[in-house]
Amino acid sequence: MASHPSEGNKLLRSTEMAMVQMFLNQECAYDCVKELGELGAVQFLDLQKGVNVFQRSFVSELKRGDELERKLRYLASEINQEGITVPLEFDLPQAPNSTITDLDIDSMTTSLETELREVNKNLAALRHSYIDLMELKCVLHAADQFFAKGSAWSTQSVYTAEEGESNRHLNFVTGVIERAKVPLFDRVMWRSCRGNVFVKIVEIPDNMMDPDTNEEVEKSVFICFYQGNQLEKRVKKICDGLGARTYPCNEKASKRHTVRDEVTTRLSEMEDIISQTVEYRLRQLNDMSIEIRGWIVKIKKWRAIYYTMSKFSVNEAHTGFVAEGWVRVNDLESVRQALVKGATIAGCAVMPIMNRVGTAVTPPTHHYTNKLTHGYQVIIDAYGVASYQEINPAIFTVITFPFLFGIMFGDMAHGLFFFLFGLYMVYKEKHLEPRKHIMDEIALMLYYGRYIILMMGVGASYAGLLYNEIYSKGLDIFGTSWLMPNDTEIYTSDDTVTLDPSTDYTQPYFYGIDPMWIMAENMLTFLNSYKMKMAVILGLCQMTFGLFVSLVNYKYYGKILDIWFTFVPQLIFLWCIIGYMCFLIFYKWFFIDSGKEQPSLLIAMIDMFLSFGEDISEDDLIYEGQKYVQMVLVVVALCMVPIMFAAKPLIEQYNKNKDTASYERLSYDSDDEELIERERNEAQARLDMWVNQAIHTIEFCLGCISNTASYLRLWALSLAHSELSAVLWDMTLYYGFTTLPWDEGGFILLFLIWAFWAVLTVVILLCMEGLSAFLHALRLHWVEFQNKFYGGEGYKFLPFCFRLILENEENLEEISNM
Amino acid sequence: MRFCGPKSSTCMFLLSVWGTIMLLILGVCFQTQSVILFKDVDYEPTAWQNVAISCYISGGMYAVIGVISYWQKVVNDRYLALEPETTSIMF
Repeated sequence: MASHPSEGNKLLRSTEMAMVQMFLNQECAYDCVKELGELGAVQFLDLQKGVNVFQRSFVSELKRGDELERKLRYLASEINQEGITVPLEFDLPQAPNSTITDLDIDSMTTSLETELREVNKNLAALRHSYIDLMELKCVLHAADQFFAKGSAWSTQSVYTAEEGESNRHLNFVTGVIERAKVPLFDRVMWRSCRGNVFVKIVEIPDNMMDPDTNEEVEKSVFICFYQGNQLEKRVKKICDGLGARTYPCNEKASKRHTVRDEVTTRLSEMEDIISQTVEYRLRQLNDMSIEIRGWIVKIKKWRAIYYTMSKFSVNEAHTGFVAEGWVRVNDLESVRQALVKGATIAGCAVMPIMNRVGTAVTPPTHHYTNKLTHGYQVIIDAYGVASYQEINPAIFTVITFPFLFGIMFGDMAHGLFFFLFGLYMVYKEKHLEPRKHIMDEIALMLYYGRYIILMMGVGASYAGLLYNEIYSKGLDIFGTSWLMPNDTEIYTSDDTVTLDPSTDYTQPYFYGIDPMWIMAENMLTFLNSYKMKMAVILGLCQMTFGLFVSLVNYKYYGKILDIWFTFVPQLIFLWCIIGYMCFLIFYKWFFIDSGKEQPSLLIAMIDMFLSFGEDISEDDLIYEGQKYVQMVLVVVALCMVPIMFAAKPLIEQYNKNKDTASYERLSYDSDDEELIERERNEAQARLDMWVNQAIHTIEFCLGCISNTASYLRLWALSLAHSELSAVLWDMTLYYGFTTLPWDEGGFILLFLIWAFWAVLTVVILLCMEGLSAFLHALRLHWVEFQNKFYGGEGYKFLPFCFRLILENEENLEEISNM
Repeated sequence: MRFCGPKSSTCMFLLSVWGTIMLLILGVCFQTQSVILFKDVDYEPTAWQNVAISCYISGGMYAVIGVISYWQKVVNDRYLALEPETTSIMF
């Protein structure tokens, strides 16, 4: 691919795009496009969009390409069917070195395909004849049984009494029928011939392969005796109708034996021929398999080039093409050089011309990413591709996503496993990269996300250190801050001890949750309060950050109105309500003594709105002057709502009136139709603007509360994870430790139970919980963070690049579906 | 000589390494009577040492399994290195 920019914003905003117009001479068009395909820097526009498929240029070449690709696909499927494999490819396939027609591939492929079809047809015919001969042999063998049972079946013995009554001669028909149809055959014969025929069935012991369906079929030989022409016709019709094949068979044993000998020799000949044909076919396929990959690549590239060229518009003199496309600004020079190179290869005298043109169309979005940031860009793009040159959330996601994941996951040991797994995949990158195509889908997902998994492990380990959790147990690293009473009596009994923070607490534990909490009965009460408050604070931080990103976007696009009448009121509204709540959280943590009855923050927030203006009772008071501060905040917040709603539309309307005022004074005739039409459109646009503003305002205001509550999933998932972890330990390993002492075989029980615990840890806690936390962290980014600033209405920059086309077939497919 | 496939031998190896390390460390924790684990032990003072010995022995057993599965892994790698890696034609 083309070169990266040496400085400037790579990931913060999408890179600058330029629309270029190229003039290509007919001779050098193919080679220039080929060079551009190798470079992979131009996204061509379809200049012949409205034109019918059959009227475009190069229709015949594309048809030929389709034909060739179809044939190659047939050959490839035949090769794969026989299970022939080829060595793994570690390099990208080579570029085609022939230029215009690739005639040799065409002729070779066509001849190979026709030959293979011939061979297949012959093989099928051979196999059919083989089956027929086998069946004949079986019939002859069974006929021995029929006719050998003494003279009772002999046709002449039946009518020994009267002479000259030759019309009483019994005839017979022999054949083979599927065993499944035998009862039906019997019944039909009996009924339709009114019991005047005699049928005898002998089963064929060996099953035979049906060449068409490749299945084994059971068959039986039948012989049917009848008298007279009418019955003969009927019998023959029934045989045909039921799919029974008839074979001629002579009464006389000697003749049958000669026929049987012939059949045997012919059968062995056939076996030889069939095996030789099969061998020949396999040899052909093997030879093909060596070269076919190269042909496939060449044909794909050839088709891609012609498809791209069919997008160009032809100039009047039919001597050249005009092409338009998007190019990243940094690649303009390389594109120019590629065109020159193509023209020199083609030996063209006239050099292609490339101009940069201006356009009003929104350019595509492209972010320069590296191995690490690519994964994050992909998950952000999955929600919506960034609008052209707006701030790209992926750059922040690199850190915030693993961090939020860690908050929800929070276990040092589990985090370490994620980290090690990610590290392993990153370490084996070079080994795994060329084997991507043979990985199954889940392994491929994990491989693509290896850097994300690595970072998620770091985040989870860090949060585990914070929550002081390792396999649901804690670590006492810095020495607990709680003082246990010295009375040793209580340590031998089952009683609980209550520690009072005002007397039994020294100083805050250096980092993280104090290990004493892990053993407390009210651990969850404490941790829930702590984690919920932390979740809300983190949510406020991320949402405020999102708002400031929107400020940067407004400044970049020059939307001054939005800065003053969208950003500022939104910020004030958010901070008056949720910001105040976080202030109360911190105030309560720092300044309220632990001794007395604690005022509830929730009640304070609810009463802030519901008991507006009323005095706050002594129990609920958090600080002096709370009532007046809250009143001011509520009033300010509510004042922001009409500003968010009405200010921007009013000012825009005023500006528009000012602009069109002078124009409207010129048209005297107020019945002018155009004027009415324009006014109607304007009224519609005004209404749209107001409705839009109303929607955005309501969305933001309600969203403040709902998004903040949504961040509580940070608490919920971390609680779920730690509880699952604790329950798993208490339900499995606990029994491993306590059931049997070691001399009674406790270690065997522990051995088995530990394995069980380990498997469940991996499956439930790592895989299921990991996936869950991943999903929720992603959702927090996609919805709660991005709805503060993200437009996401761009489209991706997909250049014409051979490497992209060869790596994922979809590119060319959607291209050929025009 | 080769009784595990490549995937199961790698799996067993990783599990045994984890088991060895974790059970040995747990054994040390039980022997030093670390407070966090008090819920996993009965109240009598000899119980700690008992569980610690269980842990050490189980850890040792996992170490043995680890050695066996590592040997199988090496055998598997040697076996697979003889076959060249192939794939079907991809279109």
